[in-house]
Amino acid sequence: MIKTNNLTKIYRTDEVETVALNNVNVEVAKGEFVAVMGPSGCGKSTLLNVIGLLDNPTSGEYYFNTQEVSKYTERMRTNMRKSNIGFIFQSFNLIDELTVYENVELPLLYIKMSSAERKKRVNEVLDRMKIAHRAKHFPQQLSGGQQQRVAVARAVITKPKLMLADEPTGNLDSANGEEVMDLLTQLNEEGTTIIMVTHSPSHAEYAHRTIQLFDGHIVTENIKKEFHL
Amino acid sequence: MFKNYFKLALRNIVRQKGFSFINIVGLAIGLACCLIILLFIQYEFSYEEMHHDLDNIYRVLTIDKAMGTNSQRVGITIPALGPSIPEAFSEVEDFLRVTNQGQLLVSFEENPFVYIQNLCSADENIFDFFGFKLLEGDPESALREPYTVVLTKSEKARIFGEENSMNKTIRTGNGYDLTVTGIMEDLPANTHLSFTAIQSFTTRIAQARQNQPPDSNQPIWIESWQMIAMPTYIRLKEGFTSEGMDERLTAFCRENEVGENFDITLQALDDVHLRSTDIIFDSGISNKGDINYIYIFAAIALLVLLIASVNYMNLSTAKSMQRAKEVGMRKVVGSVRSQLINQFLGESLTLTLLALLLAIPLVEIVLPWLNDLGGTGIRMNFLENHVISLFMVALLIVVGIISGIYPAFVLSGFKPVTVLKGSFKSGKKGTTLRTVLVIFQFALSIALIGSTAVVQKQLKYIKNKDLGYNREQVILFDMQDNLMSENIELLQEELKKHSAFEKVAIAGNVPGRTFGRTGVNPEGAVDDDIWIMSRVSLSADAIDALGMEIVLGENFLPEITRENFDVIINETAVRQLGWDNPLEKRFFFGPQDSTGVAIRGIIKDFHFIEMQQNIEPVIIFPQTRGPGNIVVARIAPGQTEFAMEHVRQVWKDVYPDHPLSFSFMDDEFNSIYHRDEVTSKIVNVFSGLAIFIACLGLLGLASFAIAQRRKEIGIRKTMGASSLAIVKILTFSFMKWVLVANLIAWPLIYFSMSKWLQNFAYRTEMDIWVFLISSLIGIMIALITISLQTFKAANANPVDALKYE
Repeated sequence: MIKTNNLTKIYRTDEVETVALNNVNVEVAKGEFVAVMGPSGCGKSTLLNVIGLLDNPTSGEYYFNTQEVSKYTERMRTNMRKSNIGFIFQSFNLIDELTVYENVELPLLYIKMSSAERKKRVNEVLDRMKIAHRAKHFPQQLSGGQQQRVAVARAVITKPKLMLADEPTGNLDSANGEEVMDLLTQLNEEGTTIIMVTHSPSHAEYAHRTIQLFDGHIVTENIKKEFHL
Repeated sequence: MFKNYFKLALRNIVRQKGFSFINIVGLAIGLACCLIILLFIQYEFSYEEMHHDLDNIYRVLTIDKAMGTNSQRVGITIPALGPSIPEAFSEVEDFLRVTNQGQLLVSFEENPFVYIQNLCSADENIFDFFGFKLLEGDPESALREPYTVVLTKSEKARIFGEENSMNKTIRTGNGYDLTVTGIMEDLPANTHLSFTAIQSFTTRIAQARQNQPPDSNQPIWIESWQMIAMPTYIRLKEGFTSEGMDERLTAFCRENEVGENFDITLQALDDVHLRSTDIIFDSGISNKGDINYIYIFAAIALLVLLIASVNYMNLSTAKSMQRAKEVGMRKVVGSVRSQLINQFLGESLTLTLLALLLAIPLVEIVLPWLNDLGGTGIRMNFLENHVISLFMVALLIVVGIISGIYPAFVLSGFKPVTVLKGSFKSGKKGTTLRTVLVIFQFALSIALIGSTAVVQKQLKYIKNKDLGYNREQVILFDMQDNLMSENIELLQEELKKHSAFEKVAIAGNVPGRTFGRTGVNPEGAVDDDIWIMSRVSLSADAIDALGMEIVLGENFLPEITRENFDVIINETAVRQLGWDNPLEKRFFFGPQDSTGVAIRGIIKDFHFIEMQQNIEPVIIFPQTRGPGNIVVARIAPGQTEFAMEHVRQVWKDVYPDHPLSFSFMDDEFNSIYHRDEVTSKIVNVFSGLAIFIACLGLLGLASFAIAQRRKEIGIRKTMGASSLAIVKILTFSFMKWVLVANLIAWPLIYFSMSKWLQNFAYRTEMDIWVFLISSLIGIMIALITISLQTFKAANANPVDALKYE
């Protein structure tokens, strides 16, 4: 599903040049669950951003579903992203002014869908994430665990093929963290490809394999579980 | 999608109460100013709209080019010209003469005398000419016969009450009767015409014939080609324009032996209200407007709106960090930039809509005050007034977009990669722009304060300037009709009896009112050098009573005889004539005059016309015994109450039939500058609003900037900075921009106000104090605005700030 060749990302300011990714070659198969680990500043999030089409690489090739997308314009990336990729962030990134229901509904507003269909889809997902009773609440009225469940609901609402999670449990206590990991595992079992950045070795255990990054390089790849197509 | 945007906009407005308040209130005030000014402009341009043939009607003006004048446009013309025009000019359909005669005392049967407020005499075609309808009577014939009158509805009610008035006769104080032949609607406020009753023009012709000496071989004044006296209008046939008519009318006058000193010019009827401020001998026209004031008000209203829009731009970009996460997230889930731009424009439009909804009641509250101040009849009626409805929609869209476009572009440009990580800080570029905008706002506000100060200074200058006469404590009694004139000396004598009166004298006219003009041949001038000079008749007592000063020669003698019938002229006349020994010179009146009159004295220049214009040469004739026009009475200091008591007593005895009528000279003086007073008040209000809105913006920005510097303040305090030191740092960081704004404001004040002052021939100086004081006021207001925020920040516990970070 994902294949990169010599992916490089360099950040430049007036005086400093930072190499965030240096000739990274990654391959992720459809239905796989991959964890990305490494110390702070090693390029984990940058990799996720490039894979998630939020950012273009400086050089190298990136194949998404066999399509070379590394030179895509912002508009092309947005179009590709909105029906194919879901995101979960450490800090949830829910919009404070919108209710739980509206936050989850948001991605559907940017794809053509009737309001009846939207309503049905949102209610289903809220039920599944066990937060339907909180639909009319605002994010600040929820616990951290509940907020991340809303974020997961928002990420899955468009039924994306790829789910990118950037430290999804980083802001949660262990119980809520486990809960989110169970949700991700469940999604993966239903066929969603997942790439997750994490600092937690125990949460990385949930993945089929772990990629270790250091200073923009892949240093090791550990296969934890057998994965069959 | 739009529902989502709208909902979000409203929630943001509710959540960010402080920012929303500043934006909505600021914009509402700005919008209200614009609406009011539009209503005012609309009203000013609505003058004469009621006349059905507006585009074809012109006023016939004269240009007076004679020596001694400033080559001015004159509101009246040659009396014989009007009636001759339709015959000589095939494109002219009709002419009309309307002369204003002011108040007239009348009575019906045994009822007490009342004044007709404003009588005019007009040709019988006035109703057809201007398209006025009669409620009663036949418009074709109502004003055909001499001694007929048409009353307005309210004038009829004052004289007759409920009774039928048609064909009834009213007695006038001038000893003749008038028959009521028609009733018309009251004139609307938005016309330059201002009569409450129209007497047939044939009445004036009959009176002029009566007053003509039996042996005279001259035409009556109404038919004369040799004077400038008649307000005249013409109406062109459909399809013709006035192009080239000025020259042809002037040539036509030359054919009729009108001197080279007078040219004719036409003024379109719809220019009369707004483009007549330079025209003299125009006293029949009440409430003249001024196109320049319209420009000034419109400019100021736009400035106020701009300052309010800048607040929106500033505060929206300042708080952009709070929206960054939303923008990032929307982009992540599939929004493209144009959708976000639309969303943010939608928000500014929503906010502008709320401001507009608040502006409407504001306008309703302010309008009565404004109408009262300006004597206007402005109303806001959306159903009838489509222009204002359309303007509001346009204003909503334009202001919404202008305010929202910059924030929309800034906010929609955020990169999700940056903002979602939480490492995002608003860029330096945004800060620079906000600084520039704050400087701009304050520069405009300070410029408005400075302008207000200059306007005030000029008005004060006018009020305190030595006028060359003393207008304080002077009462004027106008002899309205023959009955009053007969007893003028009795009134004078009776008033003199009380010690509360220092001087009681008779005058033909007084400074501040329009003086007549006369042509003279000064001694030593070439034959055809006719000088046109303003003229007034005063008694020796009147010169004293008005506090005028003879600087050379002497005042008139108390008894005027043929031998001592000399004149007094002013210093300007002496200067312009270039005479070294004026007392040895004479004036001649026409080629037949061989003796002329001697010059008895030179009077110190006095302002008999408004200060917008230079003092002109004036010739003072002695007021001879007999019916005069005005009794001038000077009250002794502190005696006003006794004097007025005495006036009431005397009046009853001298004029039992006449309602008490008098005026104070200083009131008349003030009314000349009423328009300037009104302008000054309006500019005051506008400046106040502008600075208020700018302060709201500064308040919002200060609270934002301080919130951003919480950590810095915390660290500084931890390192030992005192609260005072923090206050100093914060204050300076804002005040330096206000100081820069001053530097921009000063030239703005200087150039705009120099231009305004040029309207006045006599004007105040723009000294350094004007600039210093306006700057000081601007700085003080800005300091007060930010002081609460800075003190709060400086006294906060640093631990909170650092923990928070």
